[in-house]
Amino acid sequence: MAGQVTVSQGEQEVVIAVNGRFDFYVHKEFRDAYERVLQKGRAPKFVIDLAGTEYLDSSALGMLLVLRERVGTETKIDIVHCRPEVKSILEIANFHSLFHLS
Amino acid sequence: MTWIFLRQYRWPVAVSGLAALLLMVRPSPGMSWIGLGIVIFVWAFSADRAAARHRAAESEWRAAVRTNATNRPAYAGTSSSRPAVASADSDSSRDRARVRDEAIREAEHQLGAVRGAIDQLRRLESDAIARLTKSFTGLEAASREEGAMVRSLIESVSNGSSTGGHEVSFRRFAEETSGMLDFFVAHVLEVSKNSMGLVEILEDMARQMNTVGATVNKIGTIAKQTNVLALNAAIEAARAGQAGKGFAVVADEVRSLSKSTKHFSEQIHALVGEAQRSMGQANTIIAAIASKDMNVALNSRRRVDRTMAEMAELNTNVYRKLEQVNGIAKNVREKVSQAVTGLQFEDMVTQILAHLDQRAAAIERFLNVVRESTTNGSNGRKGNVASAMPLAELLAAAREASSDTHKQAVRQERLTTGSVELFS
Repeated sequence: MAGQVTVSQGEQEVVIAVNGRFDFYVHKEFRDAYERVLQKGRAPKFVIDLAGTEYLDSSALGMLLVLRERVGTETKIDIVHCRPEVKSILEIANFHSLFHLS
Repeated sequence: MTWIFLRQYRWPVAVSGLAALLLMVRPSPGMSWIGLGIVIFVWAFSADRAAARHRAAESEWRAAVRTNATNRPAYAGTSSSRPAVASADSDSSRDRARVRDEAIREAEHQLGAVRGAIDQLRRLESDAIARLTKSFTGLEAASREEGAMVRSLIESVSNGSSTGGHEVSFRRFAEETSGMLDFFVAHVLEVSKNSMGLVEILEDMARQMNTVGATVNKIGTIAKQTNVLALNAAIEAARAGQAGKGFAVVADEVRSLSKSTKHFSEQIHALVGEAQRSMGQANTIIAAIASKDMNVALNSRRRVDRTMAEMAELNTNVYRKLEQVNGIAKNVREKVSQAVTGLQFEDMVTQILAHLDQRAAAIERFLNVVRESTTNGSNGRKGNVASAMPLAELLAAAREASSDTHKQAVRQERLTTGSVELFS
């Protein structure tokens, strides 16, 4: 199924959940999700919830890296609820040095 | 005596008696006498031989009994038996001398054989030791070489890197593959990240283009309004008549300007549309560039990791086995070294053999003394006192030589270390 991005903003963190396929075709939604938050001001923490992510390709990794650059090194980004396959791909990409994976 | 005679010469007696009987039966008396003569001669000769043998045997038996009873050394036996020789008659003395000479010759022959055997033994031993030493030395060298090879293998296995450029190290190969995979993944990530950055820029551009389009539309509206305004101005100028003639020209110019503006805004609108289409195409291409299936890299990484794990296990096994081989090789080297050390008994054996040879030579010298004494005894019964001096000197010399041998043996015993017992 085509990817869907949902955003929920809490007190301390912004949760961006990606369901279905996390690929190039969700980039606009994904970008809008964090740009909207960033336009309001600096977010203390981002949480990327991949519980519903079935598939993830290199463009998704590229988007996460762009986000990492966009928010700056002071803002924490957690990637949570990864499926084993997704987590393996993130580890291959050496994401554990840039994000907090769980 | 008769009984001994008959027992010892029964065949010649029987044959000659039978011949005499046959000759007596013949009619010729001459032949009978001749036969009788032959019989008498044979019988007389045989009786004499029998008596001589019996006497010699008796005196020898007596001398042997006397020697055993007094328990004297062998070299003293000849001198003690000399009075017996002197007292016996000439025939028995000659027999005794002959028997003694024969015994001495036999003893010398046996001694010669012993010395020959000692010599042969020495050569065999020396040859065998030389071969063994050579073989063990070769074995030791080969074992050392093997040990060096095994150690170098262990080193290369434990390091996982090859010292020589041409050597193939599976571990290094796997590491290089892993490094290449990491590079590939990093490259894909870099491309994807840049592509997504580019996509964002394109999106921004598309948004700006939309703004441009909207602006151009506004310009078109203004041109339309200007045109209407010019048309109104022309109407008003016509109404003014001659006075408004110049104004009508201006209104006409404004109208043509508004037409030009409308035309350009339409052109710009079309161009913006084209640019947006191009950006859409660029977006598609960038999407293709940015979207790479990471499962390929994932599977490759898994294969490499698995290979690395297998390689590590193999290396561990090989290392363990090589350690064992090294232990065995070390053991072999130690054993061979012990064997080479053990081969040094050659020196001792050579010394012992040399000493045996010297002892045999001493016995020969003593035998020589005995022979000399015998020839003196048989040749000059008259000059016994005169020939006693050279014999005594000979004996003294032989004793001196054997004493030297004895001293030498003692010295060799002192020279050799360890618990090997030599002669005393």
